[in-house]
Amino acid sequence: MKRYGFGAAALIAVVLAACTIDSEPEAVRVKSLDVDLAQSHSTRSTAIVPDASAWTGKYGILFPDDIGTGGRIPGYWHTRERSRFARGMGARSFDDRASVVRREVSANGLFLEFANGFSAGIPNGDAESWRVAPYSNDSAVHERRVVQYFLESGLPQDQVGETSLNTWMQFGGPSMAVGPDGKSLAAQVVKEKKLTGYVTIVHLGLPAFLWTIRSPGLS
Amino acid sequence: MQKLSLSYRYGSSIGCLVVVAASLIVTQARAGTAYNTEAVDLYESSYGSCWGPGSDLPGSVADADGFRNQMDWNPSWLGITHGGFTPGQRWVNQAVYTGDFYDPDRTLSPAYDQDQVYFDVAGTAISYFAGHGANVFGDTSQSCTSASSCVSPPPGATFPAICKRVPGDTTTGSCDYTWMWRALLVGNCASGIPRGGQVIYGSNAAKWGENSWPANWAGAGTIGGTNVVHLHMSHPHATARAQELFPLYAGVMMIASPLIHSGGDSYIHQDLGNYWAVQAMNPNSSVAAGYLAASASIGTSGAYPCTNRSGTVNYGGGHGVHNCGGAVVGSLDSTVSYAQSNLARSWYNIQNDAYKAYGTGYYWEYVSCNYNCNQWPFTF
Repeated sequence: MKRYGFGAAALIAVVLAACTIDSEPEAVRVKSLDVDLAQSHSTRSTAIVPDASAWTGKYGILFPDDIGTGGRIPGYWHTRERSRFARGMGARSFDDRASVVRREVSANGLFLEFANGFSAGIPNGDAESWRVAPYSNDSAVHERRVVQYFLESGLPQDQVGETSLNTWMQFGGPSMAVGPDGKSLAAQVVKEKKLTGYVTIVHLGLPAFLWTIRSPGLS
Repeated sequence: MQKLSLSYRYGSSIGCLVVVAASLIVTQARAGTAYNTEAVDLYESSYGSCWGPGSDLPGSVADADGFRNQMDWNPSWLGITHGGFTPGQRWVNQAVYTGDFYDPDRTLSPAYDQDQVYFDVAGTAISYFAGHGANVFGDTSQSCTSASSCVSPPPGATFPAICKRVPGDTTTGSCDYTWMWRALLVGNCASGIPRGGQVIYGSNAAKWGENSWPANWAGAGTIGGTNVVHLHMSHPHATARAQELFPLYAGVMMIASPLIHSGGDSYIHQDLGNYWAVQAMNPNSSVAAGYLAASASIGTSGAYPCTNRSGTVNYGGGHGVHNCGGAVVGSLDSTVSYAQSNLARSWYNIQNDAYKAYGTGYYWEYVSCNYNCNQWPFTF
């Protein structure tokens, strides 16, 4: 934190203490290495949502209406029971809108499971998984492990199609620096680099795919 | 103009909100909660007609609307009452002017240039543009083995240069030079100051994020306020040439965009904004990582592959860009730790102006490549 309105924070705390707070208590932060980030959803998405009570009727969340399956993603669904997304301590499930979405809030993040088969494990920004090394520096090794992970989770072999790759990197450097030749500032800007991890996208041979980034808990 | 109210969703009583808001004012803490979108589908048929036949870009408005509609939906439907975001301005097609993006403190044309009223409004968390981009030069076919061997910038280009490595290059690459005239394009070429429909990065007149925290950044005053910018457009950002975007920074925490490396362009995928906003369902998650996740969630169909220079070997592709590239979220701040911290900000954090950048000493970026850019680095 660079600069902060401590005075404001203190005053707000006092005021809020006297108010009805309808937010969820923040989960306790704990360390866990058993984290993956996995998603399963349709590649084609428009906005048809079964429970329209609060729906705006515009573009929005991932409910395919054009895949001929009644708005449900065909084939394998990567549910929270199947995922090894590490919830951490204090996991609480909310099924109050189970006709649309179930969500599980825990110390390390949020797992969403929509009624159409879309699911997403979304880790907190400070989850330990962001600080551990990639599963492998070899993308092929990562890819094989991810496919195996989904197979172990229940993905039928006959639904496994092609895979594609994303590589998550970090680059940086002094923005005002000038290289030894007096010209190569840009080279300085990318002077430092770091592999965050690989993302393997498993195409299912259906209008859907799965993806996951580095899975240190899977080794 | 509206929707810039300070809205904390912690309290359920209006009275409490009033008191909280008053306390914030008294102590001068600043919050940016709004998401503003500007998107252009209509170029060919918009005012002024400075763009030619076939220039319309269907999907831009849907993309921006997908973002804002998901953001609208997240708190109300999931019961996430602490998300804290508020719907901001929505401008589309002919209602998008060049003056929406230019800072009057820099242009000295306050009657026409009013980014503080539109794209860079105080109280904004996220400013989102979807539309065309242009002006991409500086790439050459000059052979090189390192940046120091790139000594002949084409007209209009400048140093520094990079020796770009395309997947498949083993010993030599090609020289790319700095080109400070990248621009986002609007369709309305008649209203305000038309400028040919271009908002040029390197003009030093489009500056975003400045307020009393990073005061008067580069002469931009204190009238701005956005904390995160998304440029969903063609050629917004090239690998290893982040300096071309530096003029846009004036306190903004981070700028997200597609990333172009070789051979292609980004394209409007109307689900990108939606996918990104889905990540905000966990407001403790990283905004920057969520952007890369949204990019991963865009498939490969319809995209040109990422190949070697001769097009004979396929190294990947897709996920929001044609050919080789990906997505990037960059941050410019005074120190390396600050720049890195900006990129780790959560959806909560980006509503807090205290996290704004306030220096230019260090740049850091999160990148997602649609090929193995660890095996095939961007440069020699």
